[in-house]
Amino acid sequence: MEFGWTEAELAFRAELSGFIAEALPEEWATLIPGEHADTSFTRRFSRALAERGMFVSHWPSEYGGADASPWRFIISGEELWAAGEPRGSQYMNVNWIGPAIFSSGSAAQKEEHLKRIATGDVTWCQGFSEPGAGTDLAALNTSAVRDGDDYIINGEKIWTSYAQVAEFCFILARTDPDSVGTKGISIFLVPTTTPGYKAEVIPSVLDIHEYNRLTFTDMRVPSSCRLGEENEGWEVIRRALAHERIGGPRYARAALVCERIAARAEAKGWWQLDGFASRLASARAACAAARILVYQALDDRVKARPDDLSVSLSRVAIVRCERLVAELALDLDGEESLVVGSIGHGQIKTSMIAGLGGGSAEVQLNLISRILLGSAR
Amino acid sequence: MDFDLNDDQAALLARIDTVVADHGVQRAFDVSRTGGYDADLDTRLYATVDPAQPFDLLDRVLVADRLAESGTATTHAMGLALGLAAPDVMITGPVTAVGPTGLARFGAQARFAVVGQGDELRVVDLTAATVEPVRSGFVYPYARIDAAGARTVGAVDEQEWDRAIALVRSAEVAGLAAAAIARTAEHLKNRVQFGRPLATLQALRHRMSELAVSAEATRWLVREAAYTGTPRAIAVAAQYAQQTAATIVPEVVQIGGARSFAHEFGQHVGAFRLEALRLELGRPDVLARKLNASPLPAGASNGK
Repeated sequence: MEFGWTEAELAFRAELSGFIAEALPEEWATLIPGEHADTSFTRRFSRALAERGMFVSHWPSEYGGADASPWRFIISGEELWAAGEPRGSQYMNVNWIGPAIFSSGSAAQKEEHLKRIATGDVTWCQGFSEPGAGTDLAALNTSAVRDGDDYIINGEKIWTSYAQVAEFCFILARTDPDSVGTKGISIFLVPTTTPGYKAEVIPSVLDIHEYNRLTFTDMRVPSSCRLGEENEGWEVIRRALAHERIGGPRYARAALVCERIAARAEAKGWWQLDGFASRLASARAACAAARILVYQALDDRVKARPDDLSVSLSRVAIVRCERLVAELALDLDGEESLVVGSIGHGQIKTSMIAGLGGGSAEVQLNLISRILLGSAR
Repeated sequence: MDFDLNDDQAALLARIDTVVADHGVQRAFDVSRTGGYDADLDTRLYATVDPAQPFDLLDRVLVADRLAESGTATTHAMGLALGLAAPDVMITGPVTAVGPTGLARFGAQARFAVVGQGDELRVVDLTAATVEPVRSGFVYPYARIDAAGARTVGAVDEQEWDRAIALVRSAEVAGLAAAAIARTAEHLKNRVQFGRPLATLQALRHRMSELAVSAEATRWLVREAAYTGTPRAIAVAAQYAQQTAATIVPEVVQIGGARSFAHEFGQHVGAFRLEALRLELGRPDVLARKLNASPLPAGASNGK
């Protein structure tokens, strides 16, 4: 048991953090991850990371990586998420879209997608949730019907981030119309220029983030777009969700906000406020708790052990720390937190997203209790 | 980064487990049920894992966690803390730590105590001290100690002691929390009410999951802090452990129902000891001040 980083991991973190400091415009210091979802800057930044060997170095070398320590996954995540996630949507490419393709994709899919992903040169979105399938993702109804060597996809996806700029969509659809639940689902890697694909913004109060509705109307895609075996997509999805739940190390951003609050506390007179010191300490400890549980989950993953429990524990801890930090930030700035751009305003909304993204916190609690207490039935 | 026990750590815990098993797990727990002290087991533990041996802090907290989870009534964990802070002192009997008001866990049973004298911490032999057992409902025997007449047997490195005792107590919280949750989970699986096991009720399932998050995070924060030894990590672990105890105690008592109070079911051991440990760790405001005053490790910008 040891909790230190290797020299190579420390060097990687230092190099990455140095590059971020040098390359990131000052305005990014106050941005919430996802706020500048995808701009020409995020693409330039991702390419620059790739050119310096810092984008997917933990991937296998045959797919554009450098076989480096798998812990670089979380080191990158912490440094970049805390900095406002200047990879934009491409963090998903690194975390789970690329790995899903190199573990389940055909040779042609690997050739088509992995090089572009590894060089930081492509944007994706995920077509998961539907109007009738959110927390219960396996209730999805989008259909993909075989027609010769093609599939015809019809359906609707909601809450899709980055859809306005994505070049590809990772779509879940039911290929066996008689199936229910997790059976009979397949995955499709679809260019967003495909006729029948439409993305519309869903107006919302989330000024820090944009959600979209995707509609697929008789969208014809070749069977070569299908990732993995027909009807066998759920295992890929399960692994992808596990990556997604801890892939954005929200605790790193929340911890940074704690330190910013502490840095301003003296000048603002906050140390004299009732409960401030206790709330700040609780928030700091909660961020550390989320971090160590994420490390535990990653340790499971690195050792190829089941990580369902450790990922769910981590996600709940992440949601908790985000909330504590957000409520503290919101309260401290008082009325100023009403203004878009204030720390509290952004934090409270990102903390709300944390409780829902990647499967609601209640789903994580269900998963934990299943291991702790057995089935609920 | 490696969350698995190495061979030495696994061997150390195996030695502890063997001692407890040979002595009787159920017998040890039965001593604990009524807030007793297991002198025989404690003696064997000191003989098996001598605190004077050069174990590191992580080894010591692993043992403290394991003994707490096992439900033993021994001072060995405090002895392990002292072994780090006063390596030259020959510890030939049970150890306690005297709190700011003179209260000490196992105070009436301990031979040695860590006590503040003036500006310094000392190890004293309690043979000539005034020791008065007090009534306590927290499933450990407590006593009030006046160490004025006690013989000093050695000096204690205050810094080492502070970090060791904070982490040993936090590790005990982790072990007790795990045990309390496991015992409560068994209760929920077996207890049928309204025609179904309580474990099928989502309201209870979610609460248990929340407790599991706190318990698991406590365990790993303590271990990480013991490994790194930084003041910040130790302050975080203590703060989080204190909060975990404060969260878990009322929940497991509430979920366990009136059984939580009865000696026969054993659910009270974890819950009420957690309350004791929480108080030994210190008031929340004091722990918060310590954490907020501890510097971030060099190079850390986001809580790493």
